[in-house]
Amino acid sequence: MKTSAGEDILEAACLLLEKEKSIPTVRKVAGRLSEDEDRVRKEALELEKGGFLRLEEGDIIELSEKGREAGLRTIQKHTVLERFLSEILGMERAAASEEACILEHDISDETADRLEGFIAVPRGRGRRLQRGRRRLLTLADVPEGTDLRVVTVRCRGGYERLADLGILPGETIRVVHILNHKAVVVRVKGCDVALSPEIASSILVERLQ
Amino acid sequence: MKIGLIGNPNVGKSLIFHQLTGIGVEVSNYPGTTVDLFSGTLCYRKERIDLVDLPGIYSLEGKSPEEEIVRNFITGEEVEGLVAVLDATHLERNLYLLLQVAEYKKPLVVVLNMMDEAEKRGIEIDREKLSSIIGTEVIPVTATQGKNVGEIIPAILFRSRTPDITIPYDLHIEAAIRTLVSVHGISRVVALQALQGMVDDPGIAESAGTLAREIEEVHRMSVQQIIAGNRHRCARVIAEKVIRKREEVTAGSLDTLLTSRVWGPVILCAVLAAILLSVFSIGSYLEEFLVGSFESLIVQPFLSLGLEPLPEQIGLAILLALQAGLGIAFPFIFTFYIFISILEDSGYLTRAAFLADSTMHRLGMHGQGIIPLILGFGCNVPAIMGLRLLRTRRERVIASFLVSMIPCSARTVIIAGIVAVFVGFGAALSIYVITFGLIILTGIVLSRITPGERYGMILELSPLRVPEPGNVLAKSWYRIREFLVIAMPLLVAASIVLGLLQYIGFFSLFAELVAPFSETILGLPGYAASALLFGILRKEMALETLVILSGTADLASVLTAGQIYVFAVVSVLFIPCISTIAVLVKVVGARITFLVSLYTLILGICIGALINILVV
Ligand SMILES: Nc1nc2c(ncn2[C@@H]2O[C@H](COP(=O)(O)OP(=O)(O)OP(=O)(O)O)[C@@H](O)[C@H]2O)c(=O)[nH]1
Ligand SMILES: [Mg+2]
Repeated sequence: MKTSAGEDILEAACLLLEKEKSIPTVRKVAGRLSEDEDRVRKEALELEKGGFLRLEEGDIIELSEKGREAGLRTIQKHTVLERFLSEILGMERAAASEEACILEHDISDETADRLEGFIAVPRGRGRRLQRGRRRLLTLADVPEGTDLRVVTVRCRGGYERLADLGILPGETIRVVHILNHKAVVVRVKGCDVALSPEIASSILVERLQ
Repeated sequence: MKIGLIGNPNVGKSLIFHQLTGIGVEVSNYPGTTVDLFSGTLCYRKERIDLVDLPGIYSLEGKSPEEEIVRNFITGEEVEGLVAVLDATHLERNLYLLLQVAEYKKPLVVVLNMMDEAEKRGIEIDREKLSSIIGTEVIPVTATQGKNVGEIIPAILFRSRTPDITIPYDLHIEAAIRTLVSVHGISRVVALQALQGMVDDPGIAESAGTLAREIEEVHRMSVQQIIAGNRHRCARVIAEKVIRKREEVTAGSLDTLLTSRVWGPVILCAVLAAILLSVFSIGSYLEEFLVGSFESLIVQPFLSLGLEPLPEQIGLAILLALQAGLGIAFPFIFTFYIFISILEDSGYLTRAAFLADSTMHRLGMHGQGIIPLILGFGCNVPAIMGLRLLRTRRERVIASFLVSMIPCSARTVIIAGIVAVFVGFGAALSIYVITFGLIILTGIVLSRITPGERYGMILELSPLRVPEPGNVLAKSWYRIREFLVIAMPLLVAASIVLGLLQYIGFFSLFAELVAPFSETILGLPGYAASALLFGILRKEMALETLVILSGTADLASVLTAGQIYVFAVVSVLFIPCISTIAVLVKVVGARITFLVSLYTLILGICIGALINILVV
């Protein structure tokens, strides 16, 4: 059986291999996880018994097919959770990522897949409008001066004010200013409203022709 | 008779309140100036009216504190009428709230404020039509010029009517309302609130919850969103009927510049720095003039009278208090208030919030948090009151630490009044650098360790306006009056007590007691340490007490430059003044207040000791 510490190691090794194209070693993995090297080595030996990886000369971690799959799965769960927490629940990215690190070990594969599907296709009206579109447009993705129609407002709880100001599905708005870090000012019903980036990126829109 | 002024934020409610009652309340050009109920009385033809200025809100069904305050107010029994203030330049958005207010079926009068700006923009509103749609009187008002403000009271007294407009909701919502009303015998308003999960009664909440879930299932939108959508649609229909001319608003070129990616932040820093520097130079110019003339015209002649030692000691104490208060504190505080008022009225603060959003995220808040931080430069007390505007407790806690550390105008008095004068301009600025550095560090650390939820910024930008000199002066005057009527008498009284205590030798005794501590750790003589303690009463009193205890306004003759510097740093950093502590308790509670005080105390002493070791 793999433990959550074990999953962290597989995830880190996978990330090193796939993203950074470097050979994973016990030291690098420990560095990524901010863990003690000896502790990582001990866990890795356990994983070796389970057939997830082999510890080679010079502490190099050689992932087996099974280990690679498990690692990728954990990465996927992490990404899905992080997106869910930040885009739909409106948490800040950093906090969402930390939280995802904890949750990723406990959710089932099915939950992760369903969450992923849920995020990819917004609820409600959006489902019809967005069908067939590859990437969803959010308020943070459009240049200044664009006229838009709101498709979905993904943040819930604590954001009723958006609806009170007129930012709700079906309304037309215009992006007036946008800063480098994606804080935006939108004009809605003749009033200018400033929004933080995490809110802007959870408001799905479509361009008005 | 109790009447409330209700409306969106920043539509001029407080200004109308002020003109009707004559009471000086805060009127500023940013949303959320008023955060609490404020009531005043007036008489009209022998009728006594309690007028209540309410915080501005966007909805009556939200969960934020100010929305709850207003909701509790208007559902109260004793409220006999409401004056709904609308901004004529943003009629459609303002109608959204009016439609909600109408549902409460209270006698109502509608005020269309900002008629001057509406005219300037070529917006024409058909008042008769609006009046017949809503079913109440509609009064056009320009509050800044006092135009038609006098009509409001007679209208609410004699001609107020219950509005007879109902919002047509979505079929499913209407059906659910009917079910709830007939099953539970509640009113339409309560049924709507129940559908939005705002009713505590478990029976009603359960059936409303079931209905709401069914509706959400069909619409695939939350009930709140459906209801908000219906209200917005209704508001738009009315707006289209009554607005005759409507031109597309375009952002002015100034606004584009102020919020541009490149120049925005540069301008923000420049504005803040310019304010600090002007206060410094104007303040010290005035100080030099006032203190100099006071010395030569009053103090010297008094000393040459050659009185008995006791009367001379007491007389001198009074004169020194007046000199320090009027000559040193007044110029800086007053100049500061003028600049802060200009900033508040220009509408720039909301743009500052937008620009500072990402920086403020790092300090654990969002952009709006910069508004209390900037106001804190004037005085920490109103700034901390303004913290109620932040939506989560987490932000309020972090902000309460940071605002209490902001060098307010009283602390500027100490920095500018003694460090800039006796040590040097660079040294004075370095105190600001140290303080800002500590504020940023504190913010970064607190944002890591403070638990609680985070929300982003949703902030309406207020229109840019040229501040009215009258309002700026009046506002600065109200604020400085507090200093003159509360602080000055306190200062003079304390000064007399200090003079007496000094005469009987109490201070040399106390000074001897604390001297070993203050001399070894901070390198300060005992009397300077006693002066620091008085700084807790009011910050600028640290300086004034120091002047009194050392017996001269020329501090350089009794203290070294290093000692003056350490004294200033410690008094700027350590423990907020007593009034700040009092509002902190009200806004964030006793525990956090204690932590803030303890933290700043330790910080002040540590930094003071560090500078003493390193530099002096
Ligand atoms: N041009 C113009 N400006 C006005 C008028 N009435 C108010 N103002 C300005 O609008 C701004 C807001 O006024 P306040 O009275 O503070 O608004 P409020 O409704 O109390 O705002 P909150 O307390 O934030 O809810 C101030 O800068 C006023 O000077 C008006 O009739 N014409
Ligand atoms: Mg107000």
